[in-house]
Amino acid sequence: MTWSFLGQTLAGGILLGGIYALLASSVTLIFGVMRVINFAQADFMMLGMALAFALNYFFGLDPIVMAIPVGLALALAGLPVAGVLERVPRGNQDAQLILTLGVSSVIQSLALIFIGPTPKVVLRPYTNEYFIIGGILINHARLFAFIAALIMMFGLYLFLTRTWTGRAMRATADDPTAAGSVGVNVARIHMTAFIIGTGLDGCAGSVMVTFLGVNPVIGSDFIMIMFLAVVMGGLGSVPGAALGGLLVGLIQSFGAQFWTLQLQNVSLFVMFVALLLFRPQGIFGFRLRA
Amino acid sequence: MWHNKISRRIRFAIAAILLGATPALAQQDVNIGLLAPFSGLWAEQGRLMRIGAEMAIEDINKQGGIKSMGGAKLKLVVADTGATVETATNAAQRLLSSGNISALDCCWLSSFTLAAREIAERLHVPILTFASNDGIVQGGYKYIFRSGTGTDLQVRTSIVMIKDAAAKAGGKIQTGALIGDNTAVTVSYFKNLEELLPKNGVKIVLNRVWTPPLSDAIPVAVAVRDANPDVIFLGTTTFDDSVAIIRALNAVKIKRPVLGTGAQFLTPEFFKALGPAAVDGVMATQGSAITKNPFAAEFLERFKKRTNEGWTVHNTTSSYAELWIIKEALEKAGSADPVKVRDALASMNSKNVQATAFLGVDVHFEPNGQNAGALNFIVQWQDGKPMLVSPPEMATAPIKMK
Amino acid sequence: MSTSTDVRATFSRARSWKSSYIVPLLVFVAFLALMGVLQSNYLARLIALVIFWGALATTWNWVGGYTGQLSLGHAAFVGLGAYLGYALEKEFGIPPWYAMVLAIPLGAVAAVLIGAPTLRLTGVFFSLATVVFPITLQIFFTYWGYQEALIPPKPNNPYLYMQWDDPRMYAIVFATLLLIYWFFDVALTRSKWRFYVGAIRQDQIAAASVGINTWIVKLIVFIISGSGACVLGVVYAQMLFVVTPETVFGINVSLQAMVLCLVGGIGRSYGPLLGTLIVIPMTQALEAYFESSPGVAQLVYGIMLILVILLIPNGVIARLQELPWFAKRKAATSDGQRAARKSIPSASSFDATSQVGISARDADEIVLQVEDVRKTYGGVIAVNNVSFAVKAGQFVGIVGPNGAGKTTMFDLLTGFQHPTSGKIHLGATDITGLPSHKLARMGLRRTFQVPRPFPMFSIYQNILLGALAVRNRVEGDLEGACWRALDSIGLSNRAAALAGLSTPSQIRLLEVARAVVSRPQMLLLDEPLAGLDPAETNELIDILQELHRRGLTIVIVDHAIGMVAKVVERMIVLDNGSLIADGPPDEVTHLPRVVEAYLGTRWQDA
Repeated sequence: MTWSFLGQTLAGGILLGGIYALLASSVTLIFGVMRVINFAQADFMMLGMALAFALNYFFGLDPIVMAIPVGLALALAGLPVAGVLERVPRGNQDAQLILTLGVSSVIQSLALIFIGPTPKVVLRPYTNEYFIIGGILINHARLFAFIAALIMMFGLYLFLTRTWTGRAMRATADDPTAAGSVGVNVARIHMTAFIIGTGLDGCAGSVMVTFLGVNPVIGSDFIMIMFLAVVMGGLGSVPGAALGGLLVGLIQSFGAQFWTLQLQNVSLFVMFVALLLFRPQGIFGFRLRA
Repeated sequence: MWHNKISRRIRFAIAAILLGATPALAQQDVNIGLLAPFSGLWAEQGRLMRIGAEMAIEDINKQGGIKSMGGAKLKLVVADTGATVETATNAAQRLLSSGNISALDCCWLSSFTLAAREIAERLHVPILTFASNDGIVQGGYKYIFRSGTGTDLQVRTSIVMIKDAAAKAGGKIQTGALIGDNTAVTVSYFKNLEELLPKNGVKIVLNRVWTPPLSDAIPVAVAVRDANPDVIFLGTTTFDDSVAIIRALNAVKIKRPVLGTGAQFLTPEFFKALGPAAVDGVMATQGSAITKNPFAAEFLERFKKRTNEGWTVHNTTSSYAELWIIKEALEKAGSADPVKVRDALASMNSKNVQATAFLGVDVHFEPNGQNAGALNFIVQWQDGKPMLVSPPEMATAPIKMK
Repeated sequence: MSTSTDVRATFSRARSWKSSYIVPLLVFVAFLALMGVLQSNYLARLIALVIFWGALATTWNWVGGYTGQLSLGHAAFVGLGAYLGYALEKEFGIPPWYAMVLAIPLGAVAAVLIGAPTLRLTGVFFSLATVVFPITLQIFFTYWGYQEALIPPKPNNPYLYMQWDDPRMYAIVFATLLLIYWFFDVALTRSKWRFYVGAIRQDQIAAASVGINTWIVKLIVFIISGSGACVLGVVYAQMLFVVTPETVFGINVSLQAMVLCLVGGIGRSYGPLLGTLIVIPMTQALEAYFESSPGVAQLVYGIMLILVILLIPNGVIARLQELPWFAKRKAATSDGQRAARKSIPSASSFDATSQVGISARDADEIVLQVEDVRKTYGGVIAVNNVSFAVKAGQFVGIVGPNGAGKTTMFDLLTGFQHPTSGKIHLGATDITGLPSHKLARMGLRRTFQVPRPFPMFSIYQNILLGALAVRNRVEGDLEGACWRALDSIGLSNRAAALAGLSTPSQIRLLEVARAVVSRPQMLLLDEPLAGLDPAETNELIDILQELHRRGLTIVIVDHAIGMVAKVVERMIVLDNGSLIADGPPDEVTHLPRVVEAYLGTRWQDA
């Protein structure tokens, strides 16, 4: 057990956690504000990856630079889904869940039909390069993706704390009835939260495609992690989601090194259930109303 | 017109549900089933198989169909295994219960093949496969035939090949590392390695297994670097894990022979993701390959033209060869009856170039269904091209050791 | 949430014995006959699959539908059953028939381990907590080397080892299990448990307030559901022949069960069966039809799911019930209710104590004793060492300005929160720290500031629920007690109306009746007068005073000191968490300390 080994584990966990954090921020908007388990969430990420791939493939555009435009496109793609979701009576969780399941099925099959099952990769000059600092290896692509994720999360944080819409969104996450009674148009806020959420998924997908191939079912590798991160961090706040994402990355990273690699996610699940039982509001969250 | 076609197909589908029959086809056609994953995580594998099967059907029909059956044409009936055993068995049952499938090419994933094997045995339809798990040809099943090698033979010949190549290069293989996921095919691969490596004087210095997907490959690569093995056996099955681990091994600058198993190390996408320098020297075992037989080279040219892809892997060549084996059996049986086709397969000794150009040997099945002379092919990336390096007598290039 | 005919339509008997037990049995026999003549292998397999999923969805429906807990962990039980059958056969040569029996305790143990912690969570958090269990098992079974568990072939002994070439046999086994589950379902929907689970589904807090131990009821249902799914898993594995962790533990197994229920109609007996009959053959037909174009079948399936949710969010059953034939049947049922009403003694012929069944007591007996009760949150003191006692038959008001600690006090008294220190006695029993449902059973009943009726139950059923968990407290027959309680609040003519469709004041009266039907030792009302107009307020006060006259001990917690003072005989005033006055209303309201508390200290300083 050397310092560089510990450092490597830590760095790996943080880089991983940064991406999870961005994904979790999108969940915090959709799950946190609307209280909907959106099974299609990771599929929007997949669409973001695919779009970023296409922009690179046809126009040579860099996916990290294109993260924001890709995000905007995915926000637009989220709009019809948000509209459909708002037509389901609020609080009818089973119907909402099945609806997003249907959306997920549609997105995945459309991707299979139009993009095909072949993994699509983006090879940038930085994809296969590494910084070596004190024996610790850091992949350029993952580091750039991490930095981009931090910037986008900071932007989201500013949006949620500095703008009226953002604050209304947080108030709605906190207590929809109260928010409604002080003049917040809850339906509108829900729609806005949903499309910003899918937009963020698109941003995340765009930066991820620099080190990960995209295929129609890549989302299934991330969907669980996204929800675990956001519940662990605490609903409805970007710092909570960021912390949750980081925590998941670190648990995975250290769990892999100090326990069996094969059981890496078991340590994550155990922590998750324990946290839900003993601190249901999340590490960083406010207390949920009954 | 479109509407008419659709409504006819709907009627057929309803009939299929009610009567358990797939649409009735023109009498002279012989139906060959292709059951493979076309959706879900393994969809790419099925896609590659389908190209080979479709090319074979076209070639067979172009050269006159089944002559002993009056030039009957072959028709490919595809079915999707989906992602679980339930969907795979449903598809197998649907396909085989129709009673008009003469033989089945199937299923890439070993668990699907095992499940389909059971159904085929009960319904008396022969299956051809190249799934390498040892269990596929065990258990006394009469309707399963495997064109390629099993894992046991793969491992045995791979060890010998690596040791020989190292000796020629003036080195010695004394230690090995096993890294890979815990899917069934890797477990079978590693089990054989764990048994055979020590017997061949190779000490296993690292055994690192994970549940896919791998979240971070660097720690694994660092462990490999620290263990400093003479050879690395790679058992990753997903595309992303395979890319990540090669990328990480390059990052820690460990230059050792890397031997994987399966097509995922040899696809054009794998090359695109890593670039020529990173993949150089990586080897992978295959159940069939483009040998130096001119027919194979000609096939590759047609494949490139058809798909716009630079080269091909064993999913495509094995399916192509297996369809020709089925054709040969039909020819011999003179009947589309699957039981007769099975008997023809069991007793065949085929020298058909369309199969031998990829399998390297005459096709003759042992009582358990294993192709008796099946070879273990090893393909290596050399200067941005996948070259067949073993067995030496049909290799397109000599093996390179770093 | 949807309304449910199972609980809505009836007072005591859901369906007749004949249609509940004989008809399914006849269907089963007809099914066996059909199997006898069925030729197609594929069709037989499809039927087996439909029945398997129908049975699995039925077990999911008990948890996800009846108690309303959307479990995404159902695959855990299927997978454990599948691997149990495999392991016993592989390691010990034990036939799967024994595994089916052993699957019952295995499923039960797994359900306790999964359910005991997670059933304390609510809503989406329960769903998310349950989803990790099958995934964890999937990882472990892969880790243990069961990636590809091939059931050992036993071709010579197909009956003993459940390895039939003929899929019809699997269909028959699944159908037998389904018949058993159906009988259980019928038994459940005919017993008083249908009210318990229905109450939990609609409002867990209200369910606790009428004395239902929500956690244990949910857990019992979860255990039965888990055992049922586990048994199914054993046979499922035999039919698949190859078990892989993804196939049996995959999230899609749990989701599929849920989809089937939702399409058919969640929370109804026929829902899962109807959903399965529609969805499974449909997916198979889609796959057969779009065989050569990968992805299209899944696309159509996804679109159909979306359309189903948008067009018939309550499932196919809800749509069917709107058809004329069903509507007629429903009308017939409510006629039955009116007929049933006639057999109940008329409202005028009861004496004071038996009307709402209040037990007469000695006037000096102390019902509630609060000693030095303190509640702090972090550094904030909400209730500061408060002591008082309430005697039998007293009508007490607890008042105080905003932030005085009234709500906290109320929650402490009713067990929804527990004191940091101090003791509370009900009669001679120490009730400090007891959960609310226990207090409700001991005769300490409450109403809510924002009323919590069971909106999908009729008014009558709401009142019935008030007494159901405390049956032993009710004198004589339950129905009579319920009708008397209904009469006492003047809602007998609306007995069959849904509580959710009643006016706010009716709902408030309903809550009072729901509490007093159990002959409580004490009734606590949380801001009962808020939001009522003068006429409604007077009506409620009249009813409360009548109850008081008949000997019921009543405590009102309210902000409106003036209104309370007119009603009660004793008033306790809280300010800043401390008790500042206790006595007859006209004295208390004139105490300077109380005036100061209500007007604010600034007036003194000025």
